[in-house]
Amino acid sequence: MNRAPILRIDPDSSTPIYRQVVDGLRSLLVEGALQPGDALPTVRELGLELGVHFNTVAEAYRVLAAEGWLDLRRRRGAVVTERAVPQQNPQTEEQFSRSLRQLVAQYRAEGLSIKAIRKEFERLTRELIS
Amino acid sequence: MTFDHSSALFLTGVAALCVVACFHLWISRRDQFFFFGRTVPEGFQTTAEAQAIVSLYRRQTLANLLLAVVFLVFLTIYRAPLHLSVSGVPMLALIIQGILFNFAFARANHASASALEDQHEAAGSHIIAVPLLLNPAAAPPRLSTILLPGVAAICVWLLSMWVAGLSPSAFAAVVNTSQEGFLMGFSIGLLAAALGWLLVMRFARQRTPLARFTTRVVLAGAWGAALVLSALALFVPAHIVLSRTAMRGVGFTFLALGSPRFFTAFSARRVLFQQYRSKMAIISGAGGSITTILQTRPSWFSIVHARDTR
Repeated sequence: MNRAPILRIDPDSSTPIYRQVVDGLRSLLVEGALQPGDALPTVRELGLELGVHFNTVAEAYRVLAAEGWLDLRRRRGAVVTERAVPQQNPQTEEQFSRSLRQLVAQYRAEGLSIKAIRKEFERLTRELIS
Repeated sequence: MTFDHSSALFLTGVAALCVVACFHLWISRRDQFFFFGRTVPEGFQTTAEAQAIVSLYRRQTLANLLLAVVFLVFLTIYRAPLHLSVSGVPMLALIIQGILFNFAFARANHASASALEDQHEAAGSHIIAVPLLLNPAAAPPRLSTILLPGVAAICVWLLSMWVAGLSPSAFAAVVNTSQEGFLMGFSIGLLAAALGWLLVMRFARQRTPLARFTTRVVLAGAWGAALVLSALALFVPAHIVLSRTAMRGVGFTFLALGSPRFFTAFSARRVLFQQYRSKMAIISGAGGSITTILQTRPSWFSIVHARDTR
């Protein structure tokens, strides 16, 4: 299968760029679009493509490496590693619930309809199960 | 009807103004990325705003040409009371046309920026999408890439001095023989380097296609300058000073090689030209060589041995 994972960032968003890079890459890693052994672009290459400073990308890579997703090698870029899924604990579940509620509240406040939110939840669930 | 020297210069001036105006009109051609010095998304050139900007720019360019010609006529008539030389008149008209062009281009550049801003606002946000596993853009460390040509040239220079066993004073004496040419080349090199440095600094944070193109051009220029310096470094210890005609020939070769590359880079048919890049390089190289031979034929072998002239 020809995989073409695409990282998307919004420079106009209030979310810091490095956070967007972390979130975007993590989504691709969780979805399996990026698989163990895949070599990501170097910080300079990705910085050039995104139009951001390479330290921003380096910071994002460091966060993902700390989470166990990436293996950072000097001058060889970042390589996706096999990551053991950590044990689920009640605290994580609570954090997830709180974050989700905050996110839904934020987008409800911005005018997103319940129908649209529900549709997105269903799509996401389908994707996770498949 | 007599056709004196000043009439010929006047007509040459008008022709030069027309050629420059054609060049100004040509740069308004739409390209995939470049639009009056702005990097634009695909399809922007076909929007009504973009077409209005191009239309106004073209009208301004034609008005500039008209003004410059009127100015040329005025200067030609009042040349004597203004104490102007015959050759100075068309030069002044060209300068006026250049200044007016700057205003027209700057206006088009600002208008493009506003149109792009409106487009982004209409789109809601400006998402940047980057494919991760495809061929990434080459991104060598900028500072070392800029310094590398200079370091290479200095190494060649020092090495050739060492091989020739040339002392600094002997080197200075050889430079003294070709003082005018050396100083001219050196100052042009310094100016080019300063301009290149400014451009790189200007575009360092803007990694748009235009910025990348500019950076590549500046780096290519830096390597070109390093090549010239290296050539000088090799010539001077060998006590060889190129005659002015020979230098002109080399300059023509550079122009013949560089001009098609420059024009195709900004051409709307750039992609098409890229397919035939190697053929174009051969053709322009051959053209450059022929020009060099034609330019330098009478004195091609008049390379002066500095040792003999001292």
